[in-house]
Amino acid sequence: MDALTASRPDLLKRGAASRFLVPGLVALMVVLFLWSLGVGPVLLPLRAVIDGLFGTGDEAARLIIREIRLPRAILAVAIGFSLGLAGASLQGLLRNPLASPSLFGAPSAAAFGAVLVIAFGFFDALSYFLPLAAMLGALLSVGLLLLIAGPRASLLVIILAGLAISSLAGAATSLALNLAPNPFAALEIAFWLLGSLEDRSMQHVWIALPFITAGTILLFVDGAAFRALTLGEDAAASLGIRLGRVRLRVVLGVALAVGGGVAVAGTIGFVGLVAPHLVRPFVRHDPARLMLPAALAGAALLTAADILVRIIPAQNEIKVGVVTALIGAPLFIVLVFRHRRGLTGEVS
Amino acid sequence: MTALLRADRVGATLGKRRILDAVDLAVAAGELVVVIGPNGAGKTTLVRRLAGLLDGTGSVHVGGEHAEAISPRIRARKIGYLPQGHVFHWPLAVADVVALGRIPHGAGAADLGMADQAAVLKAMDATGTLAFAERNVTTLSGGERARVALARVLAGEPQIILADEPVAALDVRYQFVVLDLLRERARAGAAIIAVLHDLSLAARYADRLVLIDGGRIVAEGRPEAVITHENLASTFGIRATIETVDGQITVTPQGAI
Repeated sequence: MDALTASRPDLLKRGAASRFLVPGLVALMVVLFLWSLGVGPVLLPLRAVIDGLFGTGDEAARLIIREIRLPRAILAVAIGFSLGLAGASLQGLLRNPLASPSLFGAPSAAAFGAVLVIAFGFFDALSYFLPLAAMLGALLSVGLLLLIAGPRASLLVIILAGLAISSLAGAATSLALNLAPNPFAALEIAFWLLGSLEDRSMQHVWIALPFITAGTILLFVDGAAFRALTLGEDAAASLGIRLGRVRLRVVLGVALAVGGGVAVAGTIGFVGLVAPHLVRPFVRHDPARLMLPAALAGAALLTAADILVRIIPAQNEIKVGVVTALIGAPLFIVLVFRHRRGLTGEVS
Repeated sequence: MTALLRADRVGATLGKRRILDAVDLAVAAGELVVVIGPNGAGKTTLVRRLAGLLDGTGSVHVGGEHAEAISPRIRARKIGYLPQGHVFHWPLAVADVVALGRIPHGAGAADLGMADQAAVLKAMDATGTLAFAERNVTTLSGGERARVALARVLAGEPQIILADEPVAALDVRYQFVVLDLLRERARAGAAIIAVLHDLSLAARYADRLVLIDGGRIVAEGRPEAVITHENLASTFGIRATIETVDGQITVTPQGAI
C-alpha cells in the first residue's frame, strides 16, 4: 500500500497547478486598486496615491483619494469579489457553467426592491432599508428560481424561469418609475439602475459592506458540497451532504451579496458569469478550488471596468454596469454556443 | 449472524404511486445480496430508501442503530451508494473524482491526508483506473466511467455497499471484474446489495437472490430457489430455459409471454 502511495506522489496533490493563481490574482487586484485611486479627472501618480492614502502629501490629493476615489475602489473590490463568488457558487450548486446571478434575474429583482424604496421616498438613499429591500428582492428571485428548478429541472427550465423573473422585475421597476411622484427622482433612479460606482462615499461602503461580508461568508461554506455535487444530487447526499441546507445557504448568500451591491451601485451584471469562467481552467474545473480565484477575478474585473469607464473619453462618464454587460453578454453568447448541446440535457 | 443493514417493512411513495410496499430485508457482513426484478419493480427505490435518500414508512437499521438517529456523515462512512448512470458534471481528473469518496472522512475541501491517499490509490488499483488517473473523467468511455464510479465508492471504505446496476455499461470482461471485486469486498466483511439485470450473472454471484415486483419481495433465497420458470413468467413475463452446468445456473430467455 505504501509502495502504491509512493509510486504516485504527484497524483493527489490538489492545487499544485494553481499554486500561483491566488497570489497572482491578489497582486493583480492590488495593482488595479492602486491604479483606480490614481485615475480620474485629476491623474495622480503612484507616489501621490500612496501619500494620499496614508494621510501625508498635499491636501487636495489627499481629499480626492480618501473622500472620492477610495470608497469607489473599495466598493468595486467588494462587489466584484462577492459577485464572482456568487457566480461560482450558483454554478457549483447547479453544476453548470452558465449559471449566474444575472441569469436568475437576481440583480433586477434586487433593483426593484431598492427602487420601490427610493421612488416612493419611504427612506432616503443612504438608509439600511435600501440594501434590506434589495436583498429581499434578490432573495425572492433566487428562491423562486431554485423552487422552480427543484432537484432535477433542466437548465432550459432554469433559464426560462430566470428570464421570466427578470422580465417581471423589470416591468415592476418600470411601473415604479412610471408612478414615481417626482420626475427628478425618476431620472435619478434610471441613471442609478445602469450600475455605477461614481460619487460614492464611505457611507455607501458602510451600508453595503455588512451585507456583502455576510453573504461572502455564507457562500464560502459549501466548497466540499459543490465538489460532491459533481456526482449528482443523490450521490452527494449519500456522501453526507445536507443538500437542503446547502441550497438555503447559497440562496441567502447570493441574495445578501447581490442585495448589498445593488443597493449602493445599481445593477452590475455578468461579473458572476465571467469571473469563474476566466479562472476555471487553472483549477482543473474543481468547483471547490474555483471559489476564491473566481471571487478575486471578480474583484479585479470590476475594478478594471471601473478604471476603463474613467479612461474612455466620453461626454458623460460611461456607467460601469454598461461596460460589464457589454463585455459579459457577448461572452455569454459564446458560452451558450459552446454548451448548446448540453442545454437540452438534465441539470441534475 | 447480525445484520449490518436491516430494513423492516420499508415503503415509499413517489407522488401518489406506491413504489415500495412493506419490504423486509436484512444483509449480514460477508454477504452479497443481488436484487433482480422487471423495470419499475422498485429496485432503485428500494436501494435509495436503504441509502437514506428517500423518506418513507418502515425503518432502516445500520449496524444495529436506527438510520434516522445517525448523522448523515456517519451514515455516509458506513454506506457507500453507487447510483445508476455514473454521471460526472464537471470535467475533473479521474483521481479527483475518486477522492470524492473520502468526503465523509473529512477530506472535503482541504488536501488529502495519508490515509485518504492510500484508500484512493487502493480503490483505483483494484478497479484498474490508475492507468488513466489524470484523464478528464468526461472523456472516458462508458465502461471506464463505471469503474471510476465504483472506485469512488470503494475509496470511502464503507462496510455496506449499495450498488444500483454497477455493470450496466460494462463489456463482458469488466462485468466479471466488477462483480468479482464486490464479492471480494463481501468476503472481506462488507455487506453488499447489488441490483443486476443479467439473470445468469445474478445467479452466479448472489449469495442470496431477492426478486421484487410491484414494490414487494416475490421470492428470496438461494439462486436455484428463486430462478424458476414460474417466477420468471409471473414477474418478468418471459419464457426461459434454465440450465445448471457445474453448479452454475444459466438463464437463456426464449421470448416474451
